[in-house]
Amino acid sequence: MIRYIVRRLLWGVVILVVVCAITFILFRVLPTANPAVLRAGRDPQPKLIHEIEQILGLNKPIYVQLWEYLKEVFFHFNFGYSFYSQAPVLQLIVERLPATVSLCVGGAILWLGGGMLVGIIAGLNRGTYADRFSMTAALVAISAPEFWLGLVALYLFASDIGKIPIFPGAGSYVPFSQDPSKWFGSLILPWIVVAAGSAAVFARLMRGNLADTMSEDFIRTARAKGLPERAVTRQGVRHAVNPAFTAFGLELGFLLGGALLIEIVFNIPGVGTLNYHAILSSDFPVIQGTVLLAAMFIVIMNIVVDVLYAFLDPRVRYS
Amino acid sequence: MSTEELLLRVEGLSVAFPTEDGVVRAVDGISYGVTKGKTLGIVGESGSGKTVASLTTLGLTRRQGADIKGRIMFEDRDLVAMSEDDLRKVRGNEVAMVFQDPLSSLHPLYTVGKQLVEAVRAHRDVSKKAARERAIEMLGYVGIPDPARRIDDFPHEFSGGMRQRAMIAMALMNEPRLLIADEPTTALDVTVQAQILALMERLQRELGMAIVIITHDLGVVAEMADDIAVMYAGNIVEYATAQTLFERPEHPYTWGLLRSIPTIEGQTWGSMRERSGNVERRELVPIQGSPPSLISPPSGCRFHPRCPYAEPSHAEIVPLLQPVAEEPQHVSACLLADEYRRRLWERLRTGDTPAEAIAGAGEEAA
Amino acid sequence: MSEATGEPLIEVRDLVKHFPITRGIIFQKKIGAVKAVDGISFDVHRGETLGIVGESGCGKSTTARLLVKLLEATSGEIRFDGRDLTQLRGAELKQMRREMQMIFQDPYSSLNPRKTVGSIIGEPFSIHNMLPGKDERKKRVQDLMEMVGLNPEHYNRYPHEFSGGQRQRIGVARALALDPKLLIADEPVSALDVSIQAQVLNLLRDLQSRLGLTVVFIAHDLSVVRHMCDRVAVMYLGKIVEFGPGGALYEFPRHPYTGALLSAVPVVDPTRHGRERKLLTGDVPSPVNPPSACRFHTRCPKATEICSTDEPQLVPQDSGTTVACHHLLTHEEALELGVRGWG
Repeated sequence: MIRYIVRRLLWGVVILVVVCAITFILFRVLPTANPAVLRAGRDPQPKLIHEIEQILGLNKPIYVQLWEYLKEVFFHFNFGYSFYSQAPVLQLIVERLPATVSLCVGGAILWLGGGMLVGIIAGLNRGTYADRFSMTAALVAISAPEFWLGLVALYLFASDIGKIPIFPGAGSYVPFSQDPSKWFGSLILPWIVVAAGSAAVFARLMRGNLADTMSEDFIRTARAKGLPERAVTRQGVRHAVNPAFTAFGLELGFLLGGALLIEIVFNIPGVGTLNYHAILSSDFPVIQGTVLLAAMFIVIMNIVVDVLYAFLDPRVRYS
Repeated sequence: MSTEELLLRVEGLSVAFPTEDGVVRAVDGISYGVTKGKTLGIVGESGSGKTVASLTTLGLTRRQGADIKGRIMFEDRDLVAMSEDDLRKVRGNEVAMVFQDPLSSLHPLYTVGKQLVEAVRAHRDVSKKAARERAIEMLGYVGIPDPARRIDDFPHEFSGGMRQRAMIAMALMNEPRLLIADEPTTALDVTVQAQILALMERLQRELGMAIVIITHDLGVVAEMADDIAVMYAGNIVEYATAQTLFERPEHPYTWGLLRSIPTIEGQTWGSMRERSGNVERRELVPIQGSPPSLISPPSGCRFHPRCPYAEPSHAEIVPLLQPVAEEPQHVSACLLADEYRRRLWERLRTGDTPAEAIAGAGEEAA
Repeated sequence: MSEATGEPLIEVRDLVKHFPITRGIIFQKKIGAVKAVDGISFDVHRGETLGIVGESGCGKSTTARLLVKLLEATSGEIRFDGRDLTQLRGAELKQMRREMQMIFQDPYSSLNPRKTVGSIIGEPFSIHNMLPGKDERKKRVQDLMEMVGLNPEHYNRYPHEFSGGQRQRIGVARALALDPKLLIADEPVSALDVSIQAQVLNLLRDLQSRLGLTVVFIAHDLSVVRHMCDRVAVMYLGKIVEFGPGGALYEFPRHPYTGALLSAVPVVDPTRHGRERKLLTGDVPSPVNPPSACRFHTRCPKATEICSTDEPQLVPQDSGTTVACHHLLTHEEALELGVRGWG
C-alpha cells in the first residue's frame, strides 16, 4: 500500500512538470501581447523593448526559457513576478488563498452531503414525486451555467438588491479571522451556487447506483438474515457510494472552474478574481502561477481519491 | 409425506406478480410439508415457481408487490399473515436461507466476520465480542481452516467452496430449526459440491435441523432428500418419498425428467437404441416443446401441450393432487387412470418410446 | 457411438499456454504466469466425439480456444489435418478456419442482439466471401435453420425473440454454415434447462452422424460427457491426468482424481443414499503456482514422496485408459469410491 502511494506521488510530480511545461509553451505560442511591450510603459521605443526582452530573458531559445522557469518553480518555489504589480506571484496567491479555500471547502462539503442525501432519498423512492422533483431540479442545476445561477441567486436573495433579501449580497466577504459570523453569512449563497451543479451530478449517480444496488443478491441475503430495513439500506448505500466516489475526483476540476466564476460574480477576493484580472491584463506569471496551483491541487486530490478508494473497496487493494 | 411432526405446512399458496405484460402466476396453489429433522427436496426447472415459493416463506417477495394467498404454517404461526416486524424476527433466526451464488450473495465490502456478527446481533442481545467468538466457532464447525484468521477476510478472498461454507455458517448462527437452501451447489465444482452436500447432511444429523433443498438436479435430491416435490409451471405435480419417486414415478413430467437426463452410469430410463447381451444403449428422450408462459398458462392440465399421453379432455380439466393407488403418501396431479399410467411406466422403463408405450398399454387394457 | 476411423484429424503435442501476470504501467515486468495449459498431448480421431472434462481452472476451455486459434499457444504443436496450425498466418489461417468451428456456452451473450438470426447464420459466408448472391445465401441459411430444428420463416427475427434452447440451435447452425470438419462445443448445454439440454444433445448427436463431424466436447458435467463421447480426457490444473474410451474410464478409473470426480457426482438412485464416499479435501490450487511434479499430489490420498519430485508420464494400462500416475487406483479402491459400472 505504501509503495502504491509513493508511486502515485512520484507520478504526480511528473504530471505537474508536464502541466507546467505545457502551460508555459502555450503562453509563448498564443498570439497575445508581448510581455516586454506590456511592461515598457506608454509609447515604448523598440530599443527599450529589446532591453526589457533581454532582462526578462525573452530572447533566449524557448527550451532554455522553459528549463529556467521549471528550475525556478520546482527548486526555489519562485513563480515569478507579476508584470502588473511586480509583486511575487507566490505571495499574491497565498494572500488570496484563504478566501478561495473557504469557498471550495464549504462548497465541497455541501456538494457531497447534499448530493448524497438527495440521491439516497430519490434512489429509495424511485418514481414518487419527491424523486421526480429532485431529479428535475438536478437537471436544472447541471444545465445552468454557474455564473447565471449566481446572478439569479443574487437577484432573488441578496440583502441589498434581492427580491427576498435574506442573505448578504456580493462584495460582503470578510476573512474568517476578522468576523466569523459575517464570513459565514457572506458565503452561504456562493456555497450553494458552487455546489449546485456537482451535487446534482452526484445525486443522479447515487440514485441510479442505489436503485441498482438494492436489487442485488447480497441485499436479499441481508433481508433474509432478519436485519431491520434501516440496516439493509445502510448496506446498500455503502455499496452504491463507491462508483459515485470515483466521480468525485473528476468533478473537482469543475468545482474549481466554477469557483473562479462564482468569485467574480460575488466579488470574493480569492485566487479566482486574481486570475480574472491577470487574464484581462495579460499578466502571464500570475496566470501561470494560478494554473499550476490548480493543477497541483487536482493531481493531489486525485491521488487522495485513488488511495481512499482502496480503503473503500477491498477488492482493488492488491494490484 | 410422513405423519411425524410437521415443522412447516404450506397450504394452498399462490403468488402472483403484476407486470407490464400481465399478471405472472408464479405459484398457483401449492401445498406441502416439511418434517422436523428431515429433508424435503423441491425439484423443478426455471419458471417452475420453486424459488418464488421458498422466498415467499420468508416474506421476501412482499416488496415486489406480490399478491400472496394461502397459508404457510410454521409450527402454529401463519407466516403469510404475519406482520413484517414479526416475520423479521423469524428470518435468519428460526428459519434461515442459503442462496445459490455465494459471491454475489455476500456483501463484497464487509468482512465475513462482520456479516456473521450482524446476523447474530440482529436477533440476540450479545456483545460484539461474544458474537465474534461464536462466528469463529461456526466457521470452524463448517470446516473452514484457521477460522480465527479468516474471519477478517473479505468474501472475494475465499474460494467458491469456502464461501458457500461461510454462507451456511452465517445461516446457522442462530440455530435455526429450518434451513432453506436454494440451489446451494449449482455454482460449485462437482468435488466441492460433494463436500457441501456432505456438510449439510452432517449438520442435519448433529443439529436436528429440517432442510428444504431446491434444485433442478435430480442427482442432488436423490442423495439428500427424504421427500421430493416435483414442480412444473407453478404447481406441484408429484410428491413422494425419494425412494418411491425414482422407483415408481407417477407423472408424465417426472417421467420426462428422468428420461431426459444422462446419468453417470449411463442413462437408465430412456428409449432403447440397441441391446447386445447385457449392454443396453439408450437414448435421451427430451420433453418436447418448451416451458409455458406463466402469464397465460395452458388451460386444464398445464403440462398437456407437452405430454405425449394427453387426451383431449386434459385441456379442460384441472388435475388435483390425488393419492395414487395403494400408496396414500404418494400424490400426483395427473388425469390419467392409475392402472393405465402404471402400465405406461412399465413399458417406458423397459425402453419403449412413448408411442410404443401407448400402443402397448392400450392393448393390455383391451 | 459414431463412425470413428482411428486416424487422427488433430494431433496436439506438448501444448502450453501461459498467461503472463505483469506489473507496472509503462514498463511491464512479468512477475508470474497463469499456467492454464501446461503441456498436454492428445489426438482427436476423425469422426469421433472426444470429451474433455475437469473442474474450474483445469484448462479445458483454454484448450478449446487454442484448438481454434482464438488464443495463441505459448509453445507446442497443433496439427490439423496434417498441417501445423501454430505456423499458419494470414490467408492460409483464414482458410483453415473454415474447417473448424466453435459453439459457445452462453446462448444469451454469444449472439449479437442487433443482428437478425438470418444475418447471424449467414455471417460466415460473407466473412469468407462465399455465396455472394443474396437469394442463394438466404436459401442456404434457411436450410441450415431447418437442419437444426428452427422454423426457416423466423429468418428475420432477433435473438431475444427465441428461447435459450433455440438460441443454442442458432449457434449450432452458424457453426455448421461452412461445412466444417471439426466442431468444438464449449459447455454447450450448461446454461440450459434440464429438459432442453436433452434436445440440444440429441441434435448434436444427430448432426454428427449425418454430417460425419468430428466433435470435441468440453464440459464439467460428467454424466453428459459419458453420454455424448467416445473417448474422454480428464484435465487437472493444465495437465491431462487420464484419458481413454468412455466405458473404461467411467467404469474403471485408474487415476485418483478421476476416481474422486466420479465418486463426487450425485447418483440418481436413492437406494444408495448415505453410501460411503471418500471426499477430496480442500480446494483446487491456483494455476499461478501449481504444485510441483504431479499437480494433484497436494490433495491425493495416495500421494507419497515421489509424487512431488517426479512428474508421472501418461502410460497406457490394461484396464483400457492411459494414465499419468505413480499410484494407480486398484479395483478395490475404485469400488470403495462407489464408482459403479454396468456390471
